[in-house]
Amino acid sequence: MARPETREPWWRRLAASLVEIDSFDLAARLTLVYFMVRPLGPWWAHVPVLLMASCGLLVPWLVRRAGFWFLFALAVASWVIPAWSFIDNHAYLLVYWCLALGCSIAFSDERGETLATNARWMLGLVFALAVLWKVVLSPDFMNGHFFRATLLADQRFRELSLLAGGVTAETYRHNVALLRQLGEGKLGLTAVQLTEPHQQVVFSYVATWWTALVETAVAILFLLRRRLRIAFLRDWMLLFFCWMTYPFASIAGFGWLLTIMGVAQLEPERRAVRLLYLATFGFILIDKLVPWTQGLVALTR
Amino acid sequence: MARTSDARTAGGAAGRASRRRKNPLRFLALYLLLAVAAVQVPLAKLWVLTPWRGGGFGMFSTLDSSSFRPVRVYAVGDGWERRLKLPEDLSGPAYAAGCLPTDGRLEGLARRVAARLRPGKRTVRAVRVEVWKTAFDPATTTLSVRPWRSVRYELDHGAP
Repeated sequence: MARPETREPWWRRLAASLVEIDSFDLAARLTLVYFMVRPLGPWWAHVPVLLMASCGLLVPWLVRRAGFWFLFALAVASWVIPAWSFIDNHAYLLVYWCLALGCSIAFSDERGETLATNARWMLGLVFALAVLWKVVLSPDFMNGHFFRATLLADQRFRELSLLAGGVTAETYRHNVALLRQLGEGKLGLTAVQLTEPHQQVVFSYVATWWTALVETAVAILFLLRRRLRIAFLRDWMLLFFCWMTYPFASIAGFGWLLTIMGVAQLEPERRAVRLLYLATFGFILIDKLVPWTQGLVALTR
Repeated sequence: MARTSDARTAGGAAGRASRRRKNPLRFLALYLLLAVAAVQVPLAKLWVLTPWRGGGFGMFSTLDSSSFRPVRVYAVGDGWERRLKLPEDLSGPAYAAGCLPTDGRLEGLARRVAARLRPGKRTVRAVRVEVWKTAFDPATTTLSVRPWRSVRYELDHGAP
């Protein structure tokens, strides 16, 4: 009588399968998932992208065809180019990323290695540009004015303001009502004085320096040579950035792209980090759908 | 002879492989990223583009974003003016006008607003579109707005 084969738990087998997928294939498939879950601009870009992403998931060899990715780049560019002055930066990044996937196949014999280099430089440059704007070019970031005004006026940061800024729901409503009056401009109103607790002022300055330091660290670590000893920290810093940012900032599209690039540039032997990147990709997906920060606010009130 | 030919073929294949490995086009996306950013920085610093847009990754770096550049539209008549509520279907063009408020874009918005004007008691002579800027005073925690750019679109014969 044959003994039943000892079977590993499903989650172990799932993790084992995920770490064994070729880096290029995994990054490519995640990109297809991105296209499936994220609505993409007008119909002329969205429809072909959705159809191609479906085909790519059903017919895996397609992701190793350069033309396939050039078509994606073309479809996304057809959305980005006419809207260049008002479209989000991650739409640009999506074009670059699809182009990088295509070029890594078309112009290199080592597609995985070439894509990894593209991803590493892309991450480094994106963060370096973000730091350039925040630290050097903007007149109102490093003095804390940006975060102070944003936490007061930008309702996307409502939960952060309530949780970390010490703002009460009543004060928040009062500020929102004033801002609405300012927007309507009735009776020639051109200025409103908002209520800002001291805790929020302190938090704004902490957030300013924290953001500048973390983004600078990510930029430097990704632009460093791969062989340097501290280079491995780049992944931890990027993951840290994602976990600190995306629960509060509703910019999931950007977060997904960062994690996909993170997966693409990671050395294959660093399996645990790969799983963390994948978990982060899933976390950003769930975070977009589940209003857990609002639940946290409700629990703490 | 055959061996020489094989060697040549092998050498040719190796050469092609080497050329492919060194093909600078494999990093085309990076060059494009840098080129776009190199254009975006002067457009935002020296012109009217918001640093948040244009592919330079300046988002969350300044208050000079489209949300802090409200767009206001007015109907102007003989000795009077009235602020108009922007139609829902023009929120996209208004947003675009806030991001890059060129005269052409503001005039385009004014023209579209003018086309939607309904006949009223008073004759509308022009439509004025304004983009305002928001400033934050940290000492008093005050947000204030002031007109920044404006375009007046004259209606040929007035409306209605």
